[in-house]
Amino acid sequence: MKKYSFKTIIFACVFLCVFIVINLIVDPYWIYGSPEIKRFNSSKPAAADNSRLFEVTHVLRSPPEALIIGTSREDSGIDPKHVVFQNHSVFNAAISSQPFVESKEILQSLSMREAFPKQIIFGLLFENANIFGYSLPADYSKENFNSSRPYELLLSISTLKSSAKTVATNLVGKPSLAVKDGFRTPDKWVDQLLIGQRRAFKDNEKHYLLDNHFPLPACKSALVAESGNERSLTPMQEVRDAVAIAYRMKSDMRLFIGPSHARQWETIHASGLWGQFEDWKRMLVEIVESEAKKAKATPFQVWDFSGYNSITEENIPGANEITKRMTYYYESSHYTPAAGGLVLDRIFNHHSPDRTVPADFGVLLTSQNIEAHLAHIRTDREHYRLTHPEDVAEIEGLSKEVAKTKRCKTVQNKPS
Amino acid sequence: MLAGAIGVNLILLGYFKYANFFATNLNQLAGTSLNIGEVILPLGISFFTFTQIAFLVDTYQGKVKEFNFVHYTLFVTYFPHLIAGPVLHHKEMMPQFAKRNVCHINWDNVAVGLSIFILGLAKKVLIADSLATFSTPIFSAVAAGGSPMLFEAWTGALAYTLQLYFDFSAYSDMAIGISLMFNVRLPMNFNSPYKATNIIDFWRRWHMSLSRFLRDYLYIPLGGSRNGKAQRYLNLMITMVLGGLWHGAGWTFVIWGALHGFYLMVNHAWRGFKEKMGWGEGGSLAKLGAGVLTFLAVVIGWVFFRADSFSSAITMLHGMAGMNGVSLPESLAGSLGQYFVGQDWVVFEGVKIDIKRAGMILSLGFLITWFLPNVREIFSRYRPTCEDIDNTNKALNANLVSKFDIALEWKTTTGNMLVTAFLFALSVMGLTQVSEFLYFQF
Repeated sequence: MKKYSFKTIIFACVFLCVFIVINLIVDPYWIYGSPEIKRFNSSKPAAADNSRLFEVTHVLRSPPEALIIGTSREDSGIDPKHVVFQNHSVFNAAISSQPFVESKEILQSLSMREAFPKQIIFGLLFENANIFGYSLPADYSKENFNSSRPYELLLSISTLKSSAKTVATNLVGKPSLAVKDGFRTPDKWVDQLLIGQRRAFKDNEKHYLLDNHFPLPACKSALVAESGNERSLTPMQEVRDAVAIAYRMKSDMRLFIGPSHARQWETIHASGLWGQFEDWKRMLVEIVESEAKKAKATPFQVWDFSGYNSITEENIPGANEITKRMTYYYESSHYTPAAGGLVLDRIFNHHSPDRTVPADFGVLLTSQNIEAHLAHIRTDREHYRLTHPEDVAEIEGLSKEVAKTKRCKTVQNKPS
Repeated sequence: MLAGAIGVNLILLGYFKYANFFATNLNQLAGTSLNIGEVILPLGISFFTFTQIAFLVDTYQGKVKEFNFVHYTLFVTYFPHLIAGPVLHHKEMMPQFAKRNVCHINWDNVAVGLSIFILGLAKKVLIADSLATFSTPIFSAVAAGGSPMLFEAWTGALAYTLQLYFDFSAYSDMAIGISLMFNVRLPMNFNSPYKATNIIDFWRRWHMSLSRFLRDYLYIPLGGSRNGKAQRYLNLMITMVLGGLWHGAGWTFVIWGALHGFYLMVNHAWRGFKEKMGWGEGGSLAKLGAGVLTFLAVVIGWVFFRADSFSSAITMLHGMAGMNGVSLPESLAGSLGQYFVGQDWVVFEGVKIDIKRAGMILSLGFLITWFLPNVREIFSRYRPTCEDIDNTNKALNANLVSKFDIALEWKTTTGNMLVTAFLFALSVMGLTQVSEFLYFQF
């Protein structure tokens, strides 16, 4: 029995060593820099399934010169291979449902290391600013920011399962959705678009009208605490902190409100949040300018691509045109790399020989022009409603349909 | 003197475990603003309070034979059981501490104890924690105001039912295993409870050491079944309600206890009625029906036990009854859609959880709980628990009837050693897990 007990412990240690070696060689989350062998581990499906883990640990281990942060819109819309990043190491650390606090934590962790990105592209989502929607995604983990995290992951059953999945997927030659530079390949959307893009638009808009604008359990939306006691740290405070870090580290941060489709802005209006949407933009400009003053620096650029223009008003295929694809959109909220490329062209003033950025696409916001810009968008919106009666009717119909099944019976805001 | 000593123990337990519960309810009822602040619960207080009360009562009744202070303090603070039981009894434990061989390494006990500990660890890390990936987000979504539909609600309730068993019995197995390595046998705490065919049977199999304590030190002192049916039912209800409250400071635990009190009352009444009518136990079909009914009653109880509030539990039960509707796969809309035109309770938007993975994990859980021998049966030859000290375990060996069961009986073979070592390594790996990106609201 003595021998039996010792053998059990010794073999358990042997198995543990084997598991660690497997995880290290397969490197399913792309964090150990192990050799990539075709038909074995070159494609990394687990990096796509666990993008939060992959992107945070990867960016902290290998800080890039240029960094992209934001949500899934930027994850699949802003391509690090764009020509404006040429000759620089770039990483797209934008992740699905990335809350502002996570964007800030990435910058905060990087600021404690030797290399901080010289260039930061920060995509901003209005719904992330809601103090009542301030919940962290299920796969968010503070441990991802620890420098010991990659070593802990060697001794993890999740990594072992991911290693098995990686090898199995590579053996059958299935490509992964994740790319080493953090960009999520647009293939992600192919399956989802089998239902046709009009349906994809409607499903997404329904989701925003039903859940996203007034998330449970509070069923409210606000940018700041009403009486100061709901939240001491609001999401916009996280943006302020992120901006302050970038000023402190003397980086060039460019912030932008993404070019979601015009119909997306209609859902915001249908939820009665238009006034709050405008306040949010004012707040962004105030944060960037006031923090610049504190840091005695030139204010960062804040770009607004959310208006009504030739890109955001792209026509949607009809309900029967299942296979027809749009150039700039997957659905109303998520834009394609084609639109993302135009965003980068505009904010870096790059002139590409094979495309022209429409003059009405993207406005640089400052405290001087913000009110005029917001008034301009309001006028453009009226025009959009006149020229797109079917789209407007569809959103209003969805809004009424959702009101019947909505779990938030007392909606705080009424359409303005 | 006895009342004073028990009172001191209960006051300490009351302060550390229930002070905030009491203050919150008082504030709600009386509109006061009593604030006790954060009270940190001393490790194992729920368990050592009970073991001390048992010792005090038995001393008062002259049943205690040993008063060695070192043995007593070791018995109360014995580390393997402190986190999740079993509830120890001095009569079983203190004589073992007095034995000389307790201080020597017994390699038989080390090998068996290590193997039981590893099986317990594997149950907790590999099975219970996998089940939690379904139960936790579903109950959390309900707590956040969501209304689960039929499949989601049942998945949440069944996953929690299995998770709790694997989690709790795993801790008991680990305690039994660690203790056995020190040559000390702990009492058995779980005996395949989901194989029970009635609620009385369930409580003889679930958290057995607690059931025994509640019976001996609460139910019987209250009068037990000595003063007529009405008094017996009242005593049962008091015992179960207090037993519920012992599990946690919250009304959902009280409701869970009361529900089981009610189940026990119905079970005793039914048993009396059967005896009066001269009915037997019935055939295998009747036993199967009784087992299913018992299991469903237990599942409903666990919904209250797990839910964060009474309203969340009701929402879950609504979902399980199909009152929040059913979501079927989109692919079935073409074939089945025509039958549900105008019926809002059926939608074809797909089940909002990974139903394939849930089905696999739940099936594995049910296979183990319903069809495999339990840890004590597997190790019965080596007498792993204190009930086995004085018997030859014939009864337990008798449970291993099929060839498959007999094959599972633990022996020191190379195959068993490799499987155990593999499970150990896998369980250690399981201590670091990556949470996955889940996005479902219902």
